[in-house]
Amino acid sequence: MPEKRIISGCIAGDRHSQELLFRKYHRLMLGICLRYCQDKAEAEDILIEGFMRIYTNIRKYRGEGSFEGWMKRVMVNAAIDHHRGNLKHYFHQDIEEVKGNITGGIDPVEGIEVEELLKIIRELPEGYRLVFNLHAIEGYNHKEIAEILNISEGTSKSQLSKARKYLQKRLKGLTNNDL
Amino acid sequence: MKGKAENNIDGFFRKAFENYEADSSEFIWDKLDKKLSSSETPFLKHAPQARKIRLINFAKPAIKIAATFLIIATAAAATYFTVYTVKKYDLINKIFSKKPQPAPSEKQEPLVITDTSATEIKQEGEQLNVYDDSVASILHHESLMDKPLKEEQKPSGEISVNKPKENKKQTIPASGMTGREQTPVPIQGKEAQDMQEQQSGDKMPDNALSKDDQKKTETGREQAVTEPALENRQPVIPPQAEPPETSAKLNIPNVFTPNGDGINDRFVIENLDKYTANRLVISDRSGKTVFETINYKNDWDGANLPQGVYFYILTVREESGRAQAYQGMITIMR
Repeated sequence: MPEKRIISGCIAGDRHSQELLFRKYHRLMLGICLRYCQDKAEAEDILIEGFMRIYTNIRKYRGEGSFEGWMKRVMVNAAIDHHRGNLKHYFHQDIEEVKGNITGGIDPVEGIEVEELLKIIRELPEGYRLVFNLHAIEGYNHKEIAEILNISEGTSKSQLSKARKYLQKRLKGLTNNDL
Repeated sequence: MKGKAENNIDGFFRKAFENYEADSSEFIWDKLDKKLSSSETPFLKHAPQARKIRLINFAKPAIKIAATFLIIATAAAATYFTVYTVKKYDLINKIFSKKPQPAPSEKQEPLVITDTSATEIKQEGEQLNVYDDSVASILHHESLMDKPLKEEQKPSGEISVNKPKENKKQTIPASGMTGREQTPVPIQGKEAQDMQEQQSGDKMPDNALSKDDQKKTETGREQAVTEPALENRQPVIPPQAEPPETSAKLNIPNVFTPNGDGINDRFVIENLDKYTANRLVISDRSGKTVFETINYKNDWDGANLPQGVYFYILTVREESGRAQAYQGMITIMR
């Protein structure tokens, strides 16, 4: 079944098409959701919520850009909204242990499993994680992030740099352990 | 330097998570499916657009199905027509062929059969067609019971002449175990029990017998034959039939406990072995047959059935060849 057919089926609310779409993309989408929350159950909640949004809003997809990208955006928004109720608490937290500057770049470490990275990302406090995800991985700029999360650009920037530092430290620890 | 490092770490993560896929739990689609079902309405909102696409998506298969149906229907009609014509043609052929060989009509058929029937089972089958299904089932049953019938000759009523074959058939209803119309003397479980109780006291009080007999005469249609059999019960009887009859009051329990403790673990019907043959059918409360056997050996332990009330129909054949049916409830407790 070609994607176009699936999409039109989804617009019509055809359950079979919806299932096909889900089966095709749910693993990729779950990969996104996992980055935004603490555990898998939570991620799956977001996944379901995200797909619900995809189904209800699929007729808004104009066929510009890739459908996959559109779905990803919807999913990310679902993830953010999942946190929205708690957002105001997130940015009061601070990472205590991380101090000092980033010294030198890290080499892209081969052999580190994605799961490992995921674990590290999850260690970040919610706010840092959101900002880092949005900026570093999803590629939003600080202005957009500030708007989405309803914070100031400055907060976004500082959170990002702190998150980076923390991640770097953890990564170094990982590589050292590996050696 | 710093900027580079930042880009580096960002890029590193970005690369790692690009197209990262994760396995979800097994039933996640079902969850989503449920949720979709519960909030079906949003999709109906966009009815005009949706309807259009639905039409496109589903009209095709629908038309396909309709088309196949049509084809099947026409094919069926065509075959029916051809068969019909062929039959017609055959008939005509027959008529033509009959002219030289006069009168192979209905009346002669039984004759033809009787010529050869005495031994051949096949013909038995053919002849069955003349009678109704119940007879057929009896016959079938007869063979299962692998018990030769006691001959109780009867002046044959409906069927033409007294050929050995037909005589046999007529005796069957008298002794048939399943024939619905013919003989079976349905004795409700309670009554059976009553009778048993009466009996347990002393040896078969006369009124129990007569009650029994009355019933039989009332219900049995072709009692002309079985009456001698009834007499068997009374002391006048030929000696061979007597011992089983008197001692063979069935004691059917109404409960058994197949829990493996060695006590009352099986559905044991006392005196069942005194009868020459039997057939036991057990069904659950919805009427589904859960157990059925011929020549039951008191060895059923309820299999894996849940505990509860079940119904049994026990048909036994006496020495005299007459059949009796008992039915009632049996409770399985574990």
